[in-house]
Amino acid sequence: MSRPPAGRLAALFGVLCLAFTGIGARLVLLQVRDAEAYEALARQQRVRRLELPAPRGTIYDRGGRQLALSLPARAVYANPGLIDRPERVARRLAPLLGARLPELRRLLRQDGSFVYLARAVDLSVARRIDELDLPGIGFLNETKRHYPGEELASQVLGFVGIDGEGLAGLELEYDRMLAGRAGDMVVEQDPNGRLIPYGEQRGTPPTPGRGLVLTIDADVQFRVEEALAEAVETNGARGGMAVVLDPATGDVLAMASNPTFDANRFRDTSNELTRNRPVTDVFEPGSVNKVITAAAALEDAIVRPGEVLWVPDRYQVGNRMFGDDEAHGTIPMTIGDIIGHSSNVGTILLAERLGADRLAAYLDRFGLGRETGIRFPGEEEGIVHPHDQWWQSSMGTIPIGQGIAVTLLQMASVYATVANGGVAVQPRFVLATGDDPSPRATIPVVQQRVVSSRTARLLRSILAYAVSDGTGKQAQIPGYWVAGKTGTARKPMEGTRGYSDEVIASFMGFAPVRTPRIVVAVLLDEPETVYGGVAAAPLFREIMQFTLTHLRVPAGEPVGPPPTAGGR
Amino acid sequence: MVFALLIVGFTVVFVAGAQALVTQSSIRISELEEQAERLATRSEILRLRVADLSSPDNIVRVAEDAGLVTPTAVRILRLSESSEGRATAGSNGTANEDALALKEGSGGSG
Repeated sequence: MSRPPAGRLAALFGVLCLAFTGIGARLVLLQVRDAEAYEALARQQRVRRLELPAPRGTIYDRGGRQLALSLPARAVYANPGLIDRPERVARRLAPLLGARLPELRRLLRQDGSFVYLARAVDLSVARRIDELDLPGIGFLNETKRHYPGEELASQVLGFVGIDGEGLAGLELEYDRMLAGRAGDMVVEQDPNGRLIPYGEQRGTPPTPGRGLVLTIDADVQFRVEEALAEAVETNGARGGMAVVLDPATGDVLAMASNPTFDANRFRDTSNELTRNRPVTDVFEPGSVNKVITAAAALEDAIVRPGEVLWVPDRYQVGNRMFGDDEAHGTIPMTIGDIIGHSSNVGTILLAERLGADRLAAYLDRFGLGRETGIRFPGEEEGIVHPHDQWWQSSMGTIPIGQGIAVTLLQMASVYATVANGGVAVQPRFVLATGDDPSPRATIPVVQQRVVSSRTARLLRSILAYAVSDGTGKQAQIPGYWVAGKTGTARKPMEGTRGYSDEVIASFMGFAPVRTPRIVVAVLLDEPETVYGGVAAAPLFREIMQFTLTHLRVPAGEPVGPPPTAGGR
Repeated sequence: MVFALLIVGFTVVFVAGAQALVTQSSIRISELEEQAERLATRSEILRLRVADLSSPDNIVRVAEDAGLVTPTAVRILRLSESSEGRATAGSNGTANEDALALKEGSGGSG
């Protein structure tokens, strides 16, 4: 056996050396120079950062019933690049997701590595999809907002968007508090998405959103919505609104607008229906505003309760003629008669004694022309011009509630002030924050005196007379003593000066008259029955009667009638 | 040599055993996580059910299905001035000086 030539051995050795040098060099490049990049690539493939959504806070009524709650849900997504047979996958997913087949097919065929197929899917549905074990289909954690009462207080509660952000109502106003803060978790997963045991797991837990306990009473709210819907239908009205307040605390026990909507289906609803109109829409109050003129007259002592004024049925102010609803000669009337029988001319005569500056000051003291501070998105402040910008005829219109615009909540607050002995209490929707449905510490009441308790007592007596003998007889409730005032205001024409033939009928009042516990303000928009006493007073009665009995308010005693002149 | 083989053998058995334990734990963790998720889902479904059943419209629907009706005439009973004594369950009883009497609200409105 001959030995291989030394040259060939040397060549082989050289080749081996070169090869090992190359391997060594590559090893150095991989392990030293590119080590960090490959390490990062490997981590990227197995380490995932998962977002942990924060559960949104629950909204409760004052009795601890859940009005809005969040449930865990899943977003279903696809990586179209990993799906071999989009047609087949679409056919299997469509019935589970309740999606249209062509749309699903389109999503599964599009370019890219991520596409949402459905959001806020129930956990049970997500589990059934997961059991199909379809490659390229994945899930993300998220939450889904649910409103068990559907239409119940929907305009007050508002709603949240698909990403859990408050879009309207209290959901928007208290979004930061309700939303909480999302957490995250870094984990190591295998290619099938399963956690690698003893792998890296670190992160920040989510901070759950805080709950809200509202002043709303779900039972009263439900009955108010029901009665409002019936009244709108019975009176052939375009719509209506109602507010129920506790005058001592400013608690809004109920607030409703009709027509309304289901908060679970807000995407199918026009924006028009989602507005919480008692806070966001203004109207000319009409005769219900006379209580402010009367309060100012009594507080400034420009008229005595028993003083007789001679009131004609027509009276000119500036270039406009004002008249009472019914023709009468010049008759004697006290302030009790004027408000009880809703005399426009009598109220204007009181306002003339008072003067524009004092009347304007009282409109402001009662909170007209500025927000109530209730904390609600889009609250309207109303329209009350400074008295130096008033027209000559404004001393005819404003005392009887025309030429100004207010929200229903503002007017309800005016009556709450009278009911509360002359002290205005800022209305509020939120009793407390947190998840204790029976909170011990509630948000403090904000209050301010507007008129003296004597003036408030006289007004209560006058408003009680308006119900027992005046224009508000249809608001009487058997067994209770009620005080209140009718209102019928013609609607201003849109885009031009002057008034249309359409009216707003309203009724506002409180009970029991001696120690008022409940204030109710109702309004019907363009009722066929026209007058506040006919259209709105029965609605007021329905709501007041239910609320008084539901809250087990004792009947109480009557108050003495105001002095009257017997002229009417 | 035998000693080295023993060491290698023990090491192999130890590693295999540890691996089996890890796998077993992993399966157990996975099962417990699934169970926790199932229970959480069940809890949420029940919470939702409670909320739906407690909503006033549902209560009214169930009450109407059970034949209940909203009262049309409400009678208000008013306590007389006397604050001590026993209440008598009569409806139109007049005030007795020593007994807490109930009388029907006289109606009307203030």
